Amino acid sequence: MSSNPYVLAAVGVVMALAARADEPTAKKESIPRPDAATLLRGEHVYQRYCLSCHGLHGDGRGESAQFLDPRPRDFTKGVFKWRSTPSGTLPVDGDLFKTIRNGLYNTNMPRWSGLTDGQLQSVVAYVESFSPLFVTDQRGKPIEIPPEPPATPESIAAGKQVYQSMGCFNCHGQEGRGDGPSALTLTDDWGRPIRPFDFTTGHLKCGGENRDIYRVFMTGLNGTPMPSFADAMTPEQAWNLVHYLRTLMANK
Amino acid sequence: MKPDLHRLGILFAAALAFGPLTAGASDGGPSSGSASGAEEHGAYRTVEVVQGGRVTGRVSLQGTPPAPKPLPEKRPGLCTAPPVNPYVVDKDGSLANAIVYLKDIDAGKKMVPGKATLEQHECSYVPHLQAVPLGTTLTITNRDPVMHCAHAFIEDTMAFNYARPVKDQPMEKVLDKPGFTRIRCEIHKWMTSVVAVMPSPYFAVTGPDGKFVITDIPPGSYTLAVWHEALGEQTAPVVVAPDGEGVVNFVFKTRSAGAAIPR
Repeated sequence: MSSNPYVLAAVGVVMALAARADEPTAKKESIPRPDAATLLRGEHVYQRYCLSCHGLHGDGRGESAQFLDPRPRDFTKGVFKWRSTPSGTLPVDGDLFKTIRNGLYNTNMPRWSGLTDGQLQSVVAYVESFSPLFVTDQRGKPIEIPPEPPATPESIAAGKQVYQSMGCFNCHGQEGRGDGPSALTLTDDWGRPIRPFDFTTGHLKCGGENRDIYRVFMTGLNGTPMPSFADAMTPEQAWNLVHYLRTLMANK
Repeated sequence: MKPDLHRLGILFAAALAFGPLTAGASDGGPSSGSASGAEEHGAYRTVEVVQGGRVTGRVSLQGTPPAPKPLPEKRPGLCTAPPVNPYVVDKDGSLANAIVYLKDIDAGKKMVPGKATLEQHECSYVPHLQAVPLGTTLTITNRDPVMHCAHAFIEDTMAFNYARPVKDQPMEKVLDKPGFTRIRCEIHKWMTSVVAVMPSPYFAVTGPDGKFVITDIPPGSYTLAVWHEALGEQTAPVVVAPDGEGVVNFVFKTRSAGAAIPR
């Protein structure tokens, strides 16, 4: 379980370099890196709590992974479902922080409410260090979520229209049960079959608020067939759709 | 093994970010983006090309290409587009739709990112294949009255995934990640497109005669590569003399002609 020599060497060099980081050579667009102490603390948290599912190398192949569905996330690709950022972009730290703190409903990812903010921040930095993309690519810019209008019978009826016109039924089915005509052919980015969300289960994996539903339409879920509708529907249409989906979710 | 290398890679990049220690040691590789300066398009810089030369040649295919994959029988009635055949070969074996490019060239003639279009029509992507410079704005439009989506991958990592549910509603996407981008539709799985996003302006797509010409190349030694969506990639060294011409002919072989299995 002890740290491997590469990490120790890395920590040493990063510390040496960090001492020089205050020189005014940093370019405006340079990508900020976590400091070595944070990474080391993150590694300890990771090895204590995350390793058995997500694996020593962050590839989602921990000892317990074979028993889990959905499978634990493979961090090495830098592809994350639950983000506040546009389709195909990296998440911001806060997104991963929220996922770890709140857990993912109806999956084996528990709420890590017992960890301190500092532990969570450091383990977020460590999780990101598994993917080279966090070094080479800029983070996505979080989308704006306009204030939610009140739900009315009209907005629900309009949302039902949106559900049809935006083609949601293709995967999620006419009744939102995740059984649309394309449902059986869907795979994730790792080539594994994946089920469209069944709204009648009553609760999104990534959060229980209306904003969470809105966000999923507009960011898409990286690594899955769920696309972003940011260029296809207006915020008003999206809120109407949220109100309609709530009626499907309430049937539980 | 791998993750250790990842960590070392991160270390290396961190070292680059902190600058002074490594100045001049390396130019950071093609993927380090903005690290090498405030240039417009990734790592590529525009410089004056003096006595530029050219590279020409032909790409051909030996052996019989496999028949195109048939479309699923059960599909919506409006999906009338024929199956795509990635092997566009004439009777002499000339291979069209191969992308020929100079690898790892980071300076030269001006790169002009323009506009390109991609349409979803009768459950097929039009065009099936195109090559554009990095930074090009791609307009994606669904021409069908059914939903499509544009789910893009560079190698096996997703680049973007946009729903295109509304007929004739365009959207624009700036192609900011270089690579051979394969775009599919999750609802009609047979729909595929290739948008090659090239990190330099030194590329060409072969026509029906399999021939290519790349011009205004600063004199020097280069690696020339050819990429084909089903046959993979080959490379060859090429020397461009001042005002000169390097000639490279590439030959792909199908499995029936004894080639190794691609991918």
